[in-house]
Amino acid sequence: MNCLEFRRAIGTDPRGLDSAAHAHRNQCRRCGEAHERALDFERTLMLAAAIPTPDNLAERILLHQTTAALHEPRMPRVPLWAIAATCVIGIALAATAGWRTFLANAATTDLAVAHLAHEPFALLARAEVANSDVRALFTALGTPITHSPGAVHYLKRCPLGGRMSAHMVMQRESGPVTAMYLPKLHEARRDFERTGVRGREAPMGDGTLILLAADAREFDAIESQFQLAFSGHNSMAVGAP
Amino acid sequence: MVSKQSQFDALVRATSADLYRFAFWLCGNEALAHDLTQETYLRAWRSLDNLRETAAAKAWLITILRREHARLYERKTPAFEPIDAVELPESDLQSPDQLGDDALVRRAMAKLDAKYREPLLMQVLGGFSCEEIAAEVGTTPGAVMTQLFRARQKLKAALGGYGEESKVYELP
Repeated sequence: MNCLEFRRAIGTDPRGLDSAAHAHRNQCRRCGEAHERALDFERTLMLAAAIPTPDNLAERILLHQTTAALHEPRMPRVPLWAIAATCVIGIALAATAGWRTFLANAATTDLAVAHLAHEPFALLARAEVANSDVRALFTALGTPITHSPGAVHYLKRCPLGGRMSAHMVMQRESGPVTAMYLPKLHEARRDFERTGVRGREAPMGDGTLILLAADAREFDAIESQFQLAFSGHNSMAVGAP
Repeated sequence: MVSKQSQFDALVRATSADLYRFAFWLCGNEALAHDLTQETYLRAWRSLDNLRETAAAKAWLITILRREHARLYERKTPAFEPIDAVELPESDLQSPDQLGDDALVRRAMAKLDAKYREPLLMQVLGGFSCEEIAAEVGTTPGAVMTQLFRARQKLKAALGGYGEESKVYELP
């Protein structure tokens, strides 16, 4: 190895020299000195890269994980006979009137809560989405509104339970509120709670609005804003000059 | 017999600080780095059975972290400042001289192009070899060696006058 190759080696990985580089280092005084300086700089780099971590980082991660694990559906080992029996019972139940409706209704709110975990960064969004973008998404879903139902900070068209929905996040004083609008789904108005998430399902326009948050105090106001956004459209459509 | 939970506890305690730091250098935002790190470990927990060798744990976690970070950009362009514009955290455990040096170096690192910064951090923070970095970023070891060499050159240039170190890669 010559000096040029040695300098390239210490520029690439000063802590991981091979035997040829070590041999050169031992016989070339200036390259040996250069290696010492490179190792000094490497220590400086390591100190600079090691930015301080949040207090109790590991404990916070473990708390987050154990909390999530508690609420995750468990998948117990089920014997084949039990699976077969379940299938028979399931088919029988499916034959009864109203089963499909019941299944769909039960699943929608659960799916909405589960969807939160798929897009956790949505809750951090702070930049306000343009009203025109909000209106455009509702129009694309076939349920137009005349104006945005308040400040929307996250907006995405998301599949939910086999249908497309408008997934929104609104930053409010009580914290972020997730609003999911599902067109062509007609549900009765009700409040619910799933794994610590407060929720509301409300019929809205030609669909259903689902609100999810840690704190439900803004639900009434947001529901009213959506009602206005939809009714405004209706009045415009019917009574506009 | 070690339980899955105790294996995971050990993994978090051994790697979370470096993973958080890597996340911070990826996104340039402390809160987002914290969330990225938490989400990475949650995914790691769900697929912990896939981790066969403890020696590969850090590389496995960094793969998950980089995917999580990429997903973030697939969803929406976040309204975050570019990393070279963010205020970089400083430790309260270091001497004033060290704080000054670190601030300079951090600023220079933040200004490095991501294609140079990422492999350099994998090497400096993660202790990865050129081959491991190449496998992670999907390129050749030769290309990684070039990126690492240039990353250091660029840092030297940005830290012009940084004592004797600025002469490290000059030939006699």
